[in-house]
Amino acid sequence: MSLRLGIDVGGTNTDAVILDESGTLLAKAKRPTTPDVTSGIRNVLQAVLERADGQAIDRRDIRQAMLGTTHCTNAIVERKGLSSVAILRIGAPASLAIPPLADWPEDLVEKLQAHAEIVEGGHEFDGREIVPLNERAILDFAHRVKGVRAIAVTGIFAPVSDAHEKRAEELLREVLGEDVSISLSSQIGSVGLLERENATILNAALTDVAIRATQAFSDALAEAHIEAEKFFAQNDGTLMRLDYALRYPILTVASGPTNSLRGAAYLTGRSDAVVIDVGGTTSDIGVLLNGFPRESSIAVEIGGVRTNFRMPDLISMGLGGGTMVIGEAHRIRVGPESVGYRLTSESRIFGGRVLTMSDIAVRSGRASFGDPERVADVAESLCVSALQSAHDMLADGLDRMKTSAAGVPVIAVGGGSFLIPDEMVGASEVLRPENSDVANAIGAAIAQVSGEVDRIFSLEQRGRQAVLDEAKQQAIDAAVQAGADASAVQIIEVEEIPLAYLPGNAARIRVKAAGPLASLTAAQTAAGQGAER
Amino acid sequence: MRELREENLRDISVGAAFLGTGGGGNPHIGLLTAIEVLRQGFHIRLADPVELDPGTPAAAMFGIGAPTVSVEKIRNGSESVTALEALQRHTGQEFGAIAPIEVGGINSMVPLTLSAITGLPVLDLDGMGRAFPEVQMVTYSIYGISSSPMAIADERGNVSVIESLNDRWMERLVRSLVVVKGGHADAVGFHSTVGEFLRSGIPYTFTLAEQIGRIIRGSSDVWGELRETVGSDVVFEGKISDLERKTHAGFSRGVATVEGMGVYRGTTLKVAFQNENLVASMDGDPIATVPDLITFMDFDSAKPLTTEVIRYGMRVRVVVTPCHDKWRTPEALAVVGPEAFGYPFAYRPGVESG
Repeated sequence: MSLRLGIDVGGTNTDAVILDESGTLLAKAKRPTTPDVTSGIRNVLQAVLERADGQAIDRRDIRQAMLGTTHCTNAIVERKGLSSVAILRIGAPASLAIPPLADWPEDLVEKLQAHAEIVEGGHEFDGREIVPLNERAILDFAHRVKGVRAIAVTGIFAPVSDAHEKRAEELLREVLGEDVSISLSSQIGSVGLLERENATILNAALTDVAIRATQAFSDALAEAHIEAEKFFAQNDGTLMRLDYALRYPILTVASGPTNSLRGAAYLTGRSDAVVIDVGGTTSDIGVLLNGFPRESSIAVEIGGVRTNFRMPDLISMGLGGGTMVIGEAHRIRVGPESVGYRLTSESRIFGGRVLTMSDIAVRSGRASFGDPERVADVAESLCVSALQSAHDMLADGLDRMKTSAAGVPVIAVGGGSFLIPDEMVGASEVLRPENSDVANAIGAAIAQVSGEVDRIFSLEQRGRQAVLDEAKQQAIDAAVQAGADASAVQIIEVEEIPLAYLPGNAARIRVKAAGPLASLTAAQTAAGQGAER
Repeated sequence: MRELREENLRDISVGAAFLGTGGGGNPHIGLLTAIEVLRQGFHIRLADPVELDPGTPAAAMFGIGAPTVSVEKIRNGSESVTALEALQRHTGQEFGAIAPIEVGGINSMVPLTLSAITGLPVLDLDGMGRAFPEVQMVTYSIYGISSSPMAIADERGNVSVIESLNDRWMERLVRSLVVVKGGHADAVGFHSTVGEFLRSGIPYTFTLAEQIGRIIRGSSDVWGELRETVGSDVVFEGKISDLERKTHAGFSRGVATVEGMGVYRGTTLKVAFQNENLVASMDGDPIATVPDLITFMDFDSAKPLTTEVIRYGMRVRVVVTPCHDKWRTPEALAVVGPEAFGYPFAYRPGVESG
């Protein structure tokens, strides 16, 4: 028997699930997220194992443990526990017009105590050197920044050729040894120097946060006598090993929404659908394509810093179980104010004074929790208007996310999913999977291992098909190296963007491959070869 | 003559995205560059061209190459200075002002940075009043200022001066040189006088871009004010339902299909683009064509959308803005009308200019 443990730390709750080899849910638990995150993980782990014990599940059978966590996001947003960072850009004489940190929030720059330099080197879009790498300047930089905790290295067109970044890492190690943490941009982001550099700097700043998060995860598992291979969930719905998470913690940012979407796909067996996750304060609407979230193409800000991460394409609307209902039936307003986590004290059904969407749902028989007597006086016409408003908002959101006029399957998840009606404009059907309350943790538990290629290729000499084939093979190889089962890896995304205004038929090609984890022994072999994203 | 501050630059960059009609590259990088020179204590001066001596020697400055490269291999900042100095050596002239070539997209910002570094004023005009992809698609060229000789510099300090037979040859020669230089370079050419730029160019387009940007960033009635200021008309409202893109000879060509919403429900608008939006057709009939400006704007935020960021499901307003009269002559339409882009029909104004 080989079991998987999935844990997801959300803004409100920390969830855990145990799945067997066939993917059947054996046990689940939910506990409030704690300010330190770690005790929430401990609590939920204890709870889920108690359930498991009741069903005679042997915890020694848990072979893999996956964690999706907000540790890193919180640290950036709250500016807490960040490491000091030295910034090395390889690109002079190009790029001097905009120095590193140019458009960063000042309070964050102060926290990092950042020292930045730009040295000569970097590559062209076709992999040539812009100028040779100035190794002397890198050694001088290393001496100047002695004592710094982490270094962020970003080379121009590093996604095309990482030769200068790799050499810089060697030189920095010569002077600074193994104690300093070094982040290379080629491992983190795609084309777009400033956004990739920003993500690399954030990654370096998370050095100590990552150590604490992985330590907390390991400790919690050890205390529970679980000896499992440990993974972190990434924001693209795939996994990375602990050693990799330590080096590239930024990739864990925003794994929650992705896990929720992937979990919904898993619970319904649908790979193409719209997922509506109704929480306490907001409804998030995302789209599943081939079982993975459709990604946003717009620059994403994290804690006020512009990055070019691939994030799930989500729209968020101010509608949830705690959303306030204001006014009378004929002039009603639904939200966007919400009582949020105070639902269990402030809403009418729980003895409070604020009329919320949860009260409306209980009054009209859509949901049954709290004390229905306390909302018996609410007029039926008011309920009808409020539910109609909620439906209109959700239908409007659904219409924004759909790509065709035909109805699409809608998967309703989240604690407030009772607000989604069974008949919805634009939906071909509304699916309500069992266990959708722990969709996030399931998404973490079933996450796959991926490999990605994102580079600019010249299509001139070998032709487009040959280049695409090469890119696909590189992505598959990267996935297998990261621990995916070679016989089950699939190409999940191919994107080709021509380089506008440039002759010579160059194109930026991005290919992503993913597959389930290989058997434990195979995975350990792959680990020996070093993990790749 | 007035000095541009950070807030003016932010407005101009948003207006430039609108006037870029889907192409021209994202002005964000150019904006950061210009803000950086201001932070270093330099000053950017925008000159009303009628205030200068018409005999003042001047030249046009612009970036050339792939926007995808310019967001990765960011400028050194001195490329345009190198090119300007080379052209001064080659022509034996000292330039007293800089003429922008293209107010649409990233090229709205780069002459401002050159102005800051050299202290030369930037003329409040350009050669397009929008964005176009090629060197000969400039009113300066159409009305008699030759692009030759042109100096092209890269960030390493390499600079080439090209003398060409005509502007079409210049386009071919420069484009191939840019590939060797790494996909992006700065150019200075079209040397002439302030008076000639005023005669052949489109006046006050930077002030216009600034007004448009201010409306988009802050107005409570964006569509009404755009109509009043630049004669823009919302011709369609809908949702992007299909997007075809293919590459051809270095251009991103394609068609975006918009399914009508609201009063446009039941109709379909197709917008063909080649970097910039070229032709909008409703149910098969062209309703707007180049050189009029066809811009996608986000339905809610009114943010102008470039071709790269448009995707399925986006809700958009399609806005048509009349081009300047200098584009409506037979000699101009021969270069930038729909026929010049391979369409079998002639230009007809989408919106009557006021």
